[in-house]
Amino acid sequence: MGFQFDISFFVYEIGIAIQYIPVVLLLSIVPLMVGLLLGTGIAIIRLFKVRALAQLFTIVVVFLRGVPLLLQLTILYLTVTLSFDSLAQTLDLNMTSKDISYTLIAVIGLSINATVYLSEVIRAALQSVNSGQYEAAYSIGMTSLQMLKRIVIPQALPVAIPLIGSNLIGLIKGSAIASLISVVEIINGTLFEANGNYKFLEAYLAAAIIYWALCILVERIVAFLETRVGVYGKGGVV
Amino acid sequence: MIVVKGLCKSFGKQEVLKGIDLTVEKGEVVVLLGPSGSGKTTFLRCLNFLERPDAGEITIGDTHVDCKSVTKNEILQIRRNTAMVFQLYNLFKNKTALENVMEGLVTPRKIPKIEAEEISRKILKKVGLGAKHDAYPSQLSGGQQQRVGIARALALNPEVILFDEPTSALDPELVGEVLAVMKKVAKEGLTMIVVTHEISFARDIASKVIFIDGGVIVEQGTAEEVLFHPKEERTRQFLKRILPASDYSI
Repeated sequence: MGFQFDISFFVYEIGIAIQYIPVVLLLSIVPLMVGLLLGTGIAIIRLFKVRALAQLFTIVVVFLRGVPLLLQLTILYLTVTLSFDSLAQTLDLNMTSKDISYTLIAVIGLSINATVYLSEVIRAALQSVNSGQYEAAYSIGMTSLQMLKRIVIPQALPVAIPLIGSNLIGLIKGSAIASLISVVEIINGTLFEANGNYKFLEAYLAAAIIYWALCILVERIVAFLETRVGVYGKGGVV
Repeated sequence: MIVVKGLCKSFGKQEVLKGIDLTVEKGEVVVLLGPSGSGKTTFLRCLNFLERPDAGEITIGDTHVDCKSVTKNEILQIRRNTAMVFQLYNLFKNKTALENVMEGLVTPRKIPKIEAEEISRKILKKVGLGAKHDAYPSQLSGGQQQRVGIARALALNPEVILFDEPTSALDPELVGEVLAVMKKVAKEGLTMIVVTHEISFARDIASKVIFIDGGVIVEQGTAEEVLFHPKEERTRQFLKRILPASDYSI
């Protein structure tokens, strides 16, 4: 049997994959937002060396960055599903582990992952702002919060945006790992269609095309945003 | 009026300030001289808590603090009574010249924008930058940036302006324009504490010259006394190195 590629099934699978784009966006945009919010908090705590919390988050970040996303998601999934039944029983809930949304578990897992990475991105961006800017802000009587809002964050943003874009691309591709904990997203959606006819190459390729298109789109958006922030920098790097 | 008593500061084991006492009357222009590493910049930065002194007392205007038990609020109070001009200008890079001057009025002091803009425009004009309102720092020369820095400090109408080597980073030909603005400000009766190596500025403008070495005040007095009739050997050695020979006879 020679190599056969079923173009019409491939096109059909692309259509299927497109239907699952909202799931991928849910699995990447929500973690991005959560990650930006919590990551900024962690970055600021570490930047200002807030006692106890700074050390705690340093350890958490180091620990979570050292474990593959695949293991983070599966460990979270197994912990939740295995402990849920007994927990539901003690709390007298009329639910079993079958009732938990796997998508929710994936979103939580990806959010934790995004928070860890984005906290480092934001910390780096905040530290890229020259210490003279911090001192000048303090010298005119600003509080730390005013300084962050008016001086530091506006200057850190042009540094952070390309890195945040890279992280979003990482999240979009990372969301594929959710397929391992039974979330029906692009990969599981297209594979399901191929189960009957074994045309897996067409299925995988269709999924790949959609991921690729999504990532190109993100890259274009980031490039556009980059031109919009940091206009003041046009005169030079310093 | 500014009163400093027993100010001490160490970085790790390195003792940088070993108990500095200083009184500055309103309207005085005090020039701090000293070799590098003598602690003069650290002293200046302790006055507005950019460095946290280990011990001592500071009174600026109606705010009195004990450095050992200073609170966040007191630091904010002290900072709002002072302003600083930095060696490397440190203008806010994301703000235009006008916004740089306005910022200290609008954000920490909650002065209405229209009023703040009016004050700021006037002050920028005073430092000779009336035409540069909308320029970002990256579009200005070093001398222009430093004049915006002085304008930013002036706008706050502080008890004292602290100048940390304001001309050290400038091209020699741009030093003059900044010194001219500083002289103008001094003549208007503002209290100034200036760390500088510009002996001509000290000679012409300073009401008091202080020589610091090894974290202590070695000698202080009028410019005439300290620069031209120093009593201490260490002062003489220092001046010999930085004064051109011809400057010895006025």
